[in-house]
Amino acid sequence: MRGLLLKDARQILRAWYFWLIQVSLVLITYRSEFALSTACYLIACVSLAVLSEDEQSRWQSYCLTLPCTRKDYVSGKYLLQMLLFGILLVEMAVFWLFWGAWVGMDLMPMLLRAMTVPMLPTAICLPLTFRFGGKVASAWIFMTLVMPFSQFLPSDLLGQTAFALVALGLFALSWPLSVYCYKLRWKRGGAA
Amino acid sequence: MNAIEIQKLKKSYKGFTLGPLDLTLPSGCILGLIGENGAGKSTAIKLMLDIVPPDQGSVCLLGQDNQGDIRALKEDIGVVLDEVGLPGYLTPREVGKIMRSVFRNWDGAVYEGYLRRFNLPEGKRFRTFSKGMKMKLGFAIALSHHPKLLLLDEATSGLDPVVRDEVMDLLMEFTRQEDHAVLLSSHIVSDLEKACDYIAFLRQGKLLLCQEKDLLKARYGVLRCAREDLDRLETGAVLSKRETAYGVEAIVERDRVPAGLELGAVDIEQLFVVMAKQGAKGA
Repeated sequence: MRGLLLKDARQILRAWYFWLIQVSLVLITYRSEFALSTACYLIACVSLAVLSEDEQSRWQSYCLTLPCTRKDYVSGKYLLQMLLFGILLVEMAVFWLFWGAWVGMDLMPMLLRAMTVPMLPTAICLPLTFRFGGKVASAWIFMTLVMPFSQFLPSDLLGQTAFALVALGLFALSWPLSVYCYKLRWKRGGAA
Repeated sequence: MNAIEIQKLKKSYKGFTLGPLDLTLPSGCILGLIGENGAGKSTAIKLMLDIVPPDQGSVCLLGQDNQGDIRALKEDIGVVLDEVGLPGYLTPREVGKIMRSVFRNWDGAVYEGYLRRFNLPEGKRFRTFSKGMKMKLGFAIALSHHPKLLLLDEATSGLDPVVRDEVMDLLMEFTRQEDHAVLLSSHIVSDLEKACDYIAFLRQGKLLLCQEKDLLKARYGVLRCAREDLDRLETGAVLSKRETAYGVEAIVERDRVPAGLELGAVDIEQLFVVMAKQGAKGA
């Protein structure tokens, strides 16, 4: 598992660092609610992109010849995504320390939004990608990512907290679902 | 101990069924799994590694069931697939660092030794490597965690003859230790003929035979004679025949050929082609 995470971290640093810089630039430059949502979606895309690259390079087959299981592989991607969410939250908190209510929000509503908005599409997209592969799932991913989840968020703190918990729960539920989907994909011969 | 024990292994996909497969490989030996493209060689290897779950049957590798602790079992297995699936941006040096976290018994010194032996640049990205270099890196990874069993799926296909020869030497060196074994699948029969102790023929998912190479060579021979001489042989003694300008060339069972007729050695490729054709007629 540690090896898989190490490989993903190197992959992101090597191939996706520009993406991560872009997220920060969007946040710093625009300092708006829209920028916040955009950054959240960009972060949600990274693990999906890594997953598609793994498929293309045939790492998905290769890593199963190493002392790793399908569950390890899926869990690695979820841990990676959580790490990215964590980085985004820390980044937001640091920016808040510098600029205060820089997207016109208090710290807590901002963090709750930054947690909820990327988690919901990820909870939907990851099981689909594990089941059907990046190519087939791409249409679904696009449809999910263009959904304006942030518009449905309640305005009060309690509602936002409840929504964030629901998102967290869905994300947690999608983890074993993704493991099942990935196993099913190999069983049916759909994986490379 | 047997390095591989497969019993009644079966896997069905739409339009293709592998097995039931029964196969045994004793430790210290190299088994060549020969088959046409799409015969089921890669599926068999994926089933052994539990990458693909079987419909029925069992696989024991190095004395352990592959449905048990597969992670621990894979610590002792080195695998090279027809395409080494490493991300293109990684360099061999970075691959070494990642593998150190993947394998408990990863040996960095052995890995570096193989990189030097294969002349692989440590700092060059994988995507810039030629096919041969990629396969060599695959072998370096597969051999650097002190495996006891090597599973090689078309690992020599696409390599130039010099590299193939190098790889064959490496395999023979590997099996000098009695507790080591190799399963090598390929459709390049000449490679297998050089290195293998056992030969298995797979055709359209069915195992046509699995036998010691020397026994196969002792059982069958090539008879070059006049047509009348061949007609005198008992029925069933001739596996295949081909008429040439000088007479007939036939693959025959040595025991059923009368003394006096001179027999040449059969090569495994000829035998495979004959058996594959017979299988096709029987199907």
